[in-house]
Amino acid sequence: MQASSRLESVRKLLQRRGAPGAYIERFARELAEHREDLMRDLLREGMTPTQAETEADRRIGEPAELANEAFEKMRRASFVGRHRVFSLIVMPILLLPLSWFLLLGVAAWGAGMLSPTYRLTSINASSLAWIYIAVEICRNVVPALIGASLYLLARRKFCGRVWSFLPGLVAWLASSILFVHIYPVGLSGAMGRMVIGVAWHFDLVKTVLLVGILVLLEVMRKWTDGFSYWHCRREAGVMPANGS
Amino acid sequence: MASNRKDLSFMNGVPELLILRLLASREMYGYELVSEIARSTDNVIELGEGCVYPILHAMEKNKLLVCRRMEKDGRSRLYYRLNERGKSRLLEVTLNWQRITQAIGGVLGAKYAGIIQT
Repeated sequence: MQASSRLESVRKLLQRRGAPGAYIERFARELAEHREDLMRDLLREGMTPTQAETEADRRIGEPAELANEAFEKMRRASFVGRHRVFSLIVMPILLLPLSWFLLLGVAAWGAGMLSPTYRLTSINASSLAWIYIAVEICRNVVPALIGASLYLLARRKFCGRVWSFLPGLVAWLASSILFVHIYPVGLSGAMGRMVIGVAWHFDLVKTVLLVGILVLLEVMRKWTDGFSYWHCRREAGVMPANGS
Repeated sequence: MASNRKDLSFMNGVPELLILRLLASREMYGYELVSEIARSTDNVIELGEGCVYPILHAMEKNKLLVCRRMEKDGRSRLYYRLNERGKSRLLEVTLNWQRITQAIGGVLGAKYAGIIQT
């Protein structure tokens, strides 16, 4: 199968817009097969190979138009793609306090704090440690998890590169404004109290974790796209089995 | 007759309707679909040949179609087939289309018949 440079352009344009690699390869393969069928029919009609190639490319369409059509059609086929502002900007803001509420609720339940017989003075060290861990997870890990899961969702739903990173940024901003904190044992008056509030603060651990996980996902995506490209071309017979 | 590809406002929903209708009769691959649409409409409707795939993929994503790679005459191709949801969708868009064409036909046929003739 001989892929034309126009098909390569479609592939590159879709890659640039951040379409999933598996989809790009599928679309490119179908276009290549279509072109082959069309060329065969045009040659049968009496065209020269050059004329047939030109006509086939004209009828299949311009690479930019094809890439745009494919990307937009696939994006609009999902709820997330149709409602990007809600799914990727509003959702992280809603998910953050909801996740904190759930996580702290589970931790409180695990520590026996939801029991009717619970008294602040009766909490033991290990239960308190669980609450501290849950608070640290809320502060540092939850924003990264929200950013990462919405990044993956946005990628799968054809929202593009910028939209995929946006939930991470929103989760970082929201978690830099909202805070959850436990006052350390021994601080008079506020001993053992957990406070959820609104105040601007910068947290290095959270920032590094969030940026790190998003960069890692992007690198992994590039790697899997590269593998999928190599695999599909090998399957289609464009590339020798050793991949050279 | 010239192609209607540029009459985009008239083409909204038409590719989906035609694809659903053709796939209701049998399983087809992309090139076969495009050729069949051109043939059965006497080349009045010619879909952008490359653009049929995004439509098929979106319909597949919306669970109206299923596809499978199959080898026929020594060539491997991706064949598309309508599922139950696709059949219901076909019924829905066909009824919509008939309603709209009847309404437009009524307007063109009665009220403006004189204008068209002159």
